[in-house]
Amino acid sequence: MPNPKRRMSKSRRDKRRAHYKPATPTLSVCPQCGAVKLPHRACPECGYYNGRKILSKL
Amino acid sequence: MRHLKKGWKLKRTRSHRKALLRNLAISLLEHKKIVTTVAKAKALRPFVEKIITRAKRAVLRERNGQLPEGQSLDIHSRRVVGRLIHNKAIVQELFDTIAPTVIDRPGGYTRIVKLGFRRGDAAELAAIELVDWGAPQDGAVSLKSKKKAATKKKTTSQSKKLSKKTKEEPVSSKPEEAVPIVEHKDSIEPTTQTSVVEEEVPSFAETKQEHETHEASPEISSETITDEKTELENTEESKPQEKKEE
Repeated sequence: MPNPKRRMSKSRRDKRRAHYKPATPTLSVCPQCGAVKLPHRACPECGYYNGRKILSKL
Repeated sequence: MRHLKKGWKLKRTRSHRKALLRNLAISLLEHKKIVTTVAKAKALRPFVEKIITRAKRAVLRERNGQLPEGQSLDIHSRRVVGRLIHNKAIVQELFDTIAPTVIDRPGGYTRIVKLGFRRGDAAELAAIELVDWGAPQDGAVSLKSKKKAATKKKTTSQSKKLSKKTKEEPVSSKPEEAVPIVEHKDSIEPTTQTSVVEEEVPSFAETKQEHETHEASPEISSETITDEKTELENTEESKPQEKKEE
């Protein structure tokens, strides 16, 4: 069976992993309160979505 | 291939899924608005809308007298719905109040709004509500956003410095309405005093009113007005923090 000739050095391993990073989520600004929120979702700060109060818990 | 395989399995057996949808539908019809996961909300929508349509058509038939002789109520529809909604009071409400309200609506009785992710299992939540019972569009976005955006740009950079200033000011110089807010603000940083706690949590409307009264009162110098404005903003901003502490 073919096998790797060399053990993968930690340098090469870590260099590969250097590109593993979480993607930044797309964000939008709440037109109601100006807070940063996820698009297409009610604003967690003011509870508004589309000019309508969705959540009353604050 | 998922050709023609519509619907959501929700990781449940058929009977379990049926029970879940019935329970969700009863809750939605009872409370008009429920918060659940996005998948369940989307599965619930066709289920409950078909029931509402059935009730709506029954009410229409009753009004137009298109029933078999000797009947004033569409008993059959009530029985069919009753098979799905195992709650007589809710069936009654559906035919008596919900169906007449949505009678002119050609479907689309529910609205789903995504709310973000639940802590614990990171499930995405959504609110599903009956459209006719939802909060009306109050146009608050167009009004408030301009006001707030304008004031925020000015003040956010200086707000920290100004908040220190406002603290040093004697409380007596301010009008009476502002006093509870000042206490409320002070109570956040040190240990909360039990006497003050009852007075705090001013609603949005109250703070707005006070905002206007400050502008109207001529005795206060312009500097104090700006300080209080920023202070009001600070209190608004600090509200969520305070809730987290609780």
